[in-house]
Amino acid sequence: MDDIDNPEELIKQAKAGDETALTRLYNDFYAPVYRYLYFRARDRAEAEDLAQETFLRFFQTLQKYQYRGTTPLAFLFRIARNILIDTGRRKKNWVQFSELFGKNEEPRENPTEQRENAEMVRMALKELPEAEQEAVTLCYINDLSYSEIAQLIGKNEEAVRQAVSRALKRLREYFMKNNLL
Amino acid sequence: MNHEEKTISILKQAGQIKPDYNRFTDFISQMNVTVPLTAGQTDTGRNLKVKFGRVSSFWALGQAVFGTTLLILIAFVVASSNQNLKTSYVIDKAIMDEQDAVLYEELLISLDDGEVMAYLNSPKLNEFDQINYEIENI
Repeated sequence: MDDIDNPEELIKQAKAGDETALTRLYNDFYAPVYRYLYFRARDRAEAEDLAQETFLRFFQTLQKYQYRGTTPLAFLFRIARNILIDTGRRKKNWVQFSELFGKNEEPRENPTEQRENAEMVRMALKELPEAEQEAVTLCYINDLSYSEIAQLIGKNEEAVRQAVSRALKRLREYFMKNNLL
Repeated sequence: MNHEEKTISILKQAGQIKPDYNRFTDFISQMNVTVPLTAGQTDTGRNLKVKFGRVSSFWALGQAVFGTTLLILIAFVVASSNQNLKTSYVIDKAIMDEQDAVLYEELLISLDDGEVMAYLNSPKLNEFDQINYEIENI
């Protein structure tokens, strides 16, 4: 989890319109929000769009946000989750021209092996029921505790623990079937 | 390491994936960027997502007859015609600028209805007026 020295002060400054504070919030929390969306959205481009929308909505609603002793990550995940649900109702099936016409654009940040691994995991996650996808993503990709996940998705900790456990079993079988274990 | 531990390890490794920050480095300042928009353009706050229209009539008719792959080729031809200058411009640029992708970050087409959309390269935002100008004056 990202290190935030004094989230309360940071939020206060951001509410006052301090651009440095807004930038800091963005820099500190963009990656975990993006990761969550990367493994839940249809593709990288959609994940980036949704992550951006999450932050725009966060900044727009910042005045209403009340600091409760933790980082705003749970709040951001809640926004991201709502946006993801809304998007699921109206999304189209986009493909890149480059995929169809052979143009090869390499993302700049991630080495090929890491990107392939992430893609493979995303494909494996798509094989799981929605609830298990979400639970295991939040648990092992975003490193949230059962308690944090339970709070976020509105279930009890035991239900989350079981969902993660079932998801791990299915993933293990998927990886074994595909000679990845 | 047993199989469960290896599974968790694979997940955690996948979780190291990073956003492409090159596209977002100016996110905050871009929130305040005012770029004149022309018809069909949507300011997403980060960079500009431009919708270049669609080829729906060809799409609806042809999809039933030819299937998706061929339709994409048809869409390409239609989009390259004078009937849709904005799409034509970007697709032509897509081909010409294949090596350095100076204009756009991604060029997408919807398999549902043939809508074509491009994400412009954010470092190029400052030149966007010029790009608009060029689009309008083909």
